[in-house]
This record gives sequence, C-alpha cells and structure tokens, in this order.
Amino acid sequence: MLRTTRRFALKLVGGGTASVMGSGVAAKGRTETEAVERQNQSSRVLPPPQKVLKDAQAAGERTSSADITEPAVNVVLPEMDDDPDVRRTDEGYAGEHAGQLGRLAAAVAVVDADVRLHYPGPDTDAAGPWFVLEPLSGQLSTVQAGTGRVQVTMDYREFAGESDGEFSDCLTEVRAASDLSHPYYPVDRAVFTTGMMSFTLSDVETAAETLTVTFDVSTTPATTAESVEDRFASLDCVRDVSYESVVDVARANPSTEVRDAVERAHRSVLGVATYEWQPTPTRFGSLPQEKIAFGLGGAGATEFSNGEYASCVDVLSESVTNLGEIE
Amino acid sequence: MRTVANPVEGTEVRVEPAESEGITINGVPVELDNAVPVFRIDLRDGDRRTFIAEHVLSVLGLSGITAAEVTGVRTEWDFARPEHRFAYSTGSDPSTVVGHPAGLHNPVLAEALRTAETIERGSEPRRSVSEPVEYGDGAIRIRPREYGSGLLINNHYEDGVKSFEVDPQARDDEATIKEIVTSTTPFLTRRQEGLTHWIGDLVSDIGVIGGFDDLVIDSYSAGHDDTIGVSRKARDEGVVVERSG
Repeated sequence: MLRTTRRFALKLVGGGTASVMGSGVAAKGRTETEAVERQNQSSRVLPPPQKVLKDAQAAGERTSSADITEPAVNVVLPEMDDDPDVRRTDEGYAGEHAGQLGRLAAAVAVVDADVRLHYPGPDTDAAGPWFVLEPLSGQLSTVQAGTGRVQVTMDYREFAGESDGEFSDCLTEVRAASDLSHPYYPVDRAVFTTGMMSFTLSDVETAAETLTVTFDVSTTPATTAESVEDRFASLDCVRDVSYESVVDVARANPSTEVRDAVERAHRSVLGVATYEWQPTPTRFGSLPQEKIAFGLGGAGATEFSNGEYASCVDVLSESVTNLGEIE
Repeated sequence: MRTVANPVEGTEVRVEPAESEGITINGVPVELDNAVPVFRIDLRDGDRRTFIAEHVLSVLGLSGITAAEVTGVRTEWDFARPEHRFAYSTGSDPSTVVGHPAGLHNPVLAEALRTAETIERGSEPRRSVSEPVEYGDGAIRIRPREYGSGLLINNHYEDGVKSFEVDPQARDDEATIKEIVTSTTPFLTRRQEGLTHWIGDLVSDIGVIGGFDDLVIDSYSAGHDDTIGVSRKARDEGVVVERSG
C-alpha cells in the first residue's frame, strides 16, 4: 500500500496555491516546515539544465535499485535526447528540447519516497499508477492516436501514349484523396485536425511500369483498412492500394480514483480539466493501463516558461496528494 | 412548469416528458453547480458527463419548455470533434455528446417542439436580480427587469449591438427562434451569424441553467465561463429574487 501524504496547502508568493506532499509511513516526521522548504527548493524558477539531468539520473538510479513491487506513483516522460538543446533564460528554458527538460525538472521536483521517477526509461513491472508528462498544454490525456501506412500504386501503362498532363491529373487525384475533409469543420484550423484520419506523403517509388506513393497515416479508433483503401481504390488511375496498421490507437483505462485525482489537481491549479488526444505514439502506449498523461507546454514549443514549470510541479504534486492512500 | 406531452426527437437528442420541474440531460440535472463551462457547456454529476448542453437548452428555453428528460441518441463517433475525443477519453459513449454536429442550436428539435403538444402544470415564480451584477471584468452584466418582461439580450460587438427579446417560460416568436437556431457557433464560423448564435447560448446559460426569466443582459465578448460565472455570482451574493404574478 502506498501511504501518501498529508496535504499542505501553501499560499505562494506571486499568487496561486500549491500543494506539497508531506508523508505517511514512508517519511514519518516530516513537518510542515520541511514541506515549505521543499516547496521553496522546487521554487518557481527552472533549475540549471545540467542540474536537472544530474538529479534525474540520480532519481532514476534510486528507482532502479528500489523495491518496485511496493506501490508508488510512477512518473515517466517520453524518450529524451541525451544531450538536449536547452539554454536557460530569464523567462525559463529556450531551445528545441525546452519543454522536455522543463517537464523533467517538474518531475524531479516532486520525487520523494512515494513518487518514483523512471529515467531514462520505465520499468513497466513497477506497481502503482503511472503519470506520463507530455506536451499537452495543461490538458489531460488517456488516448494516443495510432499510425499506419498506405501504398497507392498507379500503372504507367495506362498512360502509354497519353500526355504527361493526364498522368499529372492522376497524381493530383491521389493527392486530393489524401486531403482532410469534414462536412462541417474548417479543417484548415489546426484545432480540428486532431482526431481525423490524416495522411502525410512519405515516399515515392518508381518502377518499370508503376509508380507507388506511400502515405504515413495518423489513425483514430474509427480507422479501418477499408476506410483508408476506399479513398484511393475508386480512382480510375489507381491499380492497387495496400494499407497496414503500424501502431494501434492506445486508450488507457485509469481507475476512477486516479482520473479524479488528476482532474481535481488540474481544476485546482489551472481552473479546468479537459481531455485531448496525443497526436503521435510514444512510450505511453506500452505502459500498464493505470495511467494518465498530462503536462504543461505545447508540442513543438521551443520555450518553456518558469510559470509553466511551476504549474507543472503543482499539478503533479496535487495529483499525488489527491490520490491519498492507494492499494 | 411546461413539458412535452409525448417524446420529441431532434438532432442527436430525444426529449421526453418530465413529471416534475427541471430538465435533465442523460440523467444529469441541469443546474448551476453541474455546469462545466469551457468553450462549450458540459454537465457533470459524479462520473456522468454530457457535452455541449447549450445546443439543447437554448431550444428548450426558446420553446418555453421548463421540464424535460433529454437523452442523447448518437451512436457513432466523429473524432474530428473535440468533445467526441473528450468523451472517448473518459470512457463515455457517443450519446453523451448532445451538441449539434454543425454547431447549430438544433433546428430540427426547434421545429419538432413548434408543433408538439405540451402540458402545463401550475405556474413557476419568475427570477430576476435585485441589483446589477457584473462578471469577467465587465464581459457580462445582468440587470433587473420588471416581472414578466423576459430577457432583453444585448450582444455588444465592435461595430454595434445585436439585441433580442426572449422569454424562457414562454414560446418565443417563430422568426426569432428560426434566426437563432440556424446560426452557426462562432467556434466554426467567423461570420456575423456567430453573434446570433451567442444569443442562444445566453438563453441556455443564463435563462435555463441560471434560471433567470426577467433580466437585461449585456454581453461584451463574453464566454461561457462568464455566463455561468455571473449566474453563480448573483446566487452567491444573494441578489436573486423570485416573483410571482
């Protein structure tokens, strides 16, 4: 049994309320003063990047040597670059991996006897729920879109003696068949494209008599081989269509307790708890079912602010605290 | 209270008679404490959730229906819609999404209610406020209005103001209802019709969920958090007044 944690609500300088973990059995005797110090240490400013990496490594080693059959909250992040491109600024981090390292810093800040960080990778045999820190801009996630691949083959021979223009028309038709469409939604507004089956041209291969284009496909639970192939198979110029699923859609099924703990933390810290899908597969899909992803910072963002860091720490620590005692 | 005599079907929903005052959607009572304002109105009661409630509640309010049991009837997912992704993420099924797929205030339901037989039992007091209430740094303001006068909604925008008069306890005139229920949500359109759609949202949020009948509402680029916020603020500050004729 994981025995968390008394909850200490601290009014922080600069506004906002953060919850800090005290402890039950694992850290008996921790006082509120210590909790305050702990919060101050995690501070509201991102630590130096090298310190984060060093502390994460140490926390990961502690996890590796601990008894993972003892339930605890397991925190993990997507795979990270060994040498992340991050520099510290007055506002936080900047660089290609600013968000990744910022979320790792938040994880490091809340690690204690009841929270173990899996770094650099997870031990999926560990007991207890999994919190996965992803670039979700403050939203929660239990679903990750899948991926597939479709090959569309056109036969040159059909165009023997025809003009280049007709073959060009064929390519245009294939490309158009891969376009997003929706009866009501303006799909050019990016907010609507998540959750749609989408196609990205990944390869063009020519042979003596054929030309084959390959699309990477982002899939939803509604995606079937037929629904992909039918888009192209009806075109006159297409001779063959072949679809294969690469990574299935992943949907976690966390318990009500875990879901509620994380939702309440989001409402408390961010004012709202909404769900969104993760657009591409990460290690989230291979973790046990008792899992939920969340995190500050957006996908592809090259900055991660001190404010996002502070919110990420607060959401994470309040989620742990809200769990109370879990079996 | 007024309810339907027989079940009525709209897009995505079925509306059935209720025995007592109040509206439920998928079993969740429509009340301020269950409203979850995001860029739409969801209702939540424990593990039960329902999404885009405002597209149904607006039509009920415009049609004078004050008691009903609404259930979602959708069976297929449309994952392009964020609320479908949300529902799937929480283990809910497609029927929990009761909003119109094209972002309208359910014109099919409005038409069905236009010709539906209704039942009236007794009369309910009408609610207003005793003094003005503002919320969201002035994004929305509600003011007292005389008994029986309904809601005067002023939707202020950059170039002017668009005003409607509606009464949540009475059936409003057909032209007003038609104009509102055929207007697309500003979430899906940047055209002027978004301003009219927002009138329906105000009927839903302040008239039906907030429970107000006689008010002047001034909206200045407000959102759902403001409409629910001002209704809660009025309640919490004790300025809600109930009056009977």
